[in-house]
Amino acid sequence: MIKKLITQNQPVEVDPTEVAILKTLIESNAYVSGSALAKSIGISRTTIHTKMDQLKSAGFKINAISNRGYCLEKLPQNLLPQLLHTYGQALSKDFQLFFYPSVDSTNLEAERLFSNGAKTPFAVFTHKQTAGKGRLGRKWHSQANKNLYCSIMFSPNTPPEKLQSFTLWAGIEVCRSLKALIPSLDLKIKWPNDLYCNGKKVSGILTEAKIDSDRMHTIILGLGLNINSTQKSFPKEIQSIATSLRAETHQSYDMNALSIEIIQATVRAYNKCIESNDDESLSDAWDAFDYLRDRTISLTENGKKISGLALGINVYGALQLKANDGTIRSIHSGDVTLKR
Amino acid sequence: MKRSELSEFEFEEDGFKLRLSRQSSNPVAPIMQSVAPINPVATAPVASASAPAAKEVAEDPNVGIIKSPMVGTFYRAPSPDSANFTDVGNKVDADSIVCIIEAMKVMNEIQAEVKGTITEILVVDGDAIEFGQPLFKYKKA
Repeated sequence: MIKKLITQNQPVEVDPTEVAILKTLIESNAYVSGSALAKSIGISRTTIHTKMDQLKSAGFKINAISNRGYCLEKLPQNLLPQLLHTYGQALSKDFQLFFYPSVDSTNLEAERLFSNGAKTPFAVFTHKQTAGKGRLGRKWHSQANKNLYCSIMFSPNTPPEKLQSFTLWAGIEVCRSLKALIPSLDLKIKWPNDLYCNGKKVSGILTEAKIDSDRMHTIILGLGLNINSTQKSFPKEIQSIATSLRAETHQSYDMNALSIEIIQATVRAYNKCIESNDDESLSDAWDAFDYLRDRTISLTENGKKISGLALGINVYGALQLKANDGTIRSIHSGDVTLKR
Repeated sequence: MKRSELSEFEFEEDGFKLRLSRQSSNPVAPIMQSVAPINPVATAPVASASAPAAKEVAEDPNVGIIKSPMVGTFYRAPSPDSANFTDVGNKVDADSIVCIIEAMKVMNEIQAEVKGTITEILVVDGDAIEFGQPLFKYKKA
């Protein structure tokens, strides 16, 4: 008899009582007595005690003082599923979160979850990707615990053209969220959606969709954001081209809170496309973050290298390139290289 | 019509139009014409300039064409090192992924939507593709 050796990677199960405790402690930002906690959550004091021990072993620093109760000493900055779910309550009720200690690629895991029946929209998070991927099978360096690796999946079932500028909007909305949190950040988007800080890449987005002639069935937006990596921790070959929020600002960030911000930014971009909300023009929004505008760039199209001046994007999000012969071309895909 | 001395008669109802005319020297000839668009045959017409293959298809009812639903760059495989999604001689069904069209860094996996065997690949890996451009020819199952 052949034994089935392949075991499905299971997401971490999050205890709703632990989430409720964390929520109460974060909101009060002070000592909360065991009896008050027990009463507000509707469980016994003994259970509170047990859950506190579980949270401590999961990495939370909780002070317990008799007569005063419990207090979160310091919020962890590492991605912790309990905290992710606590902040995740700001999302719409139908949005699901899945967390894994390790996966090959969050995009691949999202696809597997969906084919096993998971309902969209949802997001997949992990500490570590063993085969993080970029465009055309390129590798995305995924240092454990320090940076964000997530995939957000939707099933639009709409004509594909409805979402043609989704990833550009996602880049814009993620930039806006990060700028709101860290105003000093010099953040730009290199068309179509790589995020750059001071000329170095801080985030990459790879989106994969399944479509036929009249419908886009599913779309998965995978995002890597370097948060708490130090410059030295990047592999040598990418040290001069990669950066992180920490390397740029000399401080580290709560990855759980940032994760939820990223989801909210992506959902805003998605809804803008689905609702055909054109209150704001894509090219105007783009201009604020355009890394390439008025710079000489080159790229490969149909196997031929072309170069010229970047003029921004058109209404569909295609890059406008003024070629050396004066003609203006619309570019829909390709790797853009900056000429220095 | 001859008896009634009418030279022309037109009747229209529910998108159906019947027109009879009699010209002095010609025998009476009924001309029927449907106002509503005729249901497209298995393969919809394609701009002939960009798609010479479409004409052949119209002649062979067993051959169909998979066309691009969008503008972008055509890839036969998920990465340069991986196997092609499909090749000549491969069977496909509705859910089979036949290629990727990349646009604005969205890798769009294109589903065949048809059942059959791929007989010809009409574009080259890395080609810039127009909306509606024929990508694959297939023999209907």
